[in-house]
Amino acid sequence: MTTHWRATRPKDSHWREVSCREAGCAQYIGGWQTVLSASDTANIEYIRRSGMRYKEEYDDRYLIRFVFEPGQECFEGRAGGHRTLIERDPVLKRDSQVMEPMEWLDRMNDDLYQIRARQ
Amino acid sequence: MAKESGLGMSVAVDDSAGTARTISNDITNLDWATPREEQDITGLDKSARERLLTLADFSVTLNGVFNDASNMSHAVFATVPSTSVARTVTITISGQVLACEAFFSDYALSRSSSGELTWSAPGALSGGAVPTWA
Repeated sequence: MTTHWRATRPKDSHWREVSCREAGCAQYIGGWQTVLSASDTANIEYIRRSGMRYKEEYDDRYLIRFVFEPGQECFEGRAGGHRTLIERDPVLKRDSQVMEPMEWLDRMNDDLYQIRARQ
Repeated sequence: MAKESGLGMSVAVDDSAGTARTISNDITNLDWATPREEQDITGLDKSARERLLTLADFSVTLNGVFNDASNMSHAVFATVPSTSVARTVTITISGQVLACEAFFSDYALSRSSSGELTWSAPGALSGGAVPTWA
């Protein structure tokens, strides 16, 4: 007999996408390097067509190093990967039943006190 | 989008050195389970099952988004496989606080097909006392 108590913050309702600048992204602040195999033409062409500011260096015949300047959205930021929490109560569930925060806290505490009393 | 009203949720977990680190901003889900063991004590004279509730347990599973910034979730849980320390988990929801001592048994990283890197850290009660909200 197991009761599950869940507090969830779904991606769609409790988080929002933010830019690299707002997220304080280290790559935005300090720039970054991406090293690719010279045969990785798809990604190399993507970078060359991206309009980003970078320098291209050849480590050897097989590797290309792209050195990106600071102040640009990184690849994660461009893909919407930086998120920040919206200040909002989590969705609270007892098993599959959604509850208001105070009801959920009371019910969980009743349960925990009962378990404690039996210890 | 502006910030919305609500008291939100705060989560702090000890790192392996015992320092509480607030990692709320990495947490997407929390799951507590309160299982209760049952003992079957049905006598031969009974026509239906007779049971007693025996040991209780309390476990918590934290799920979140990978973050390797200093003192955030990766710094806290990266030491789970290499250390054996009970960690204090403190959760605050709507001004109520639940604090428990737990052993974390895993720090499982997962990359989805869409590229999201998430983690899951299950912990089990270590001190023998079930915590309550206060």
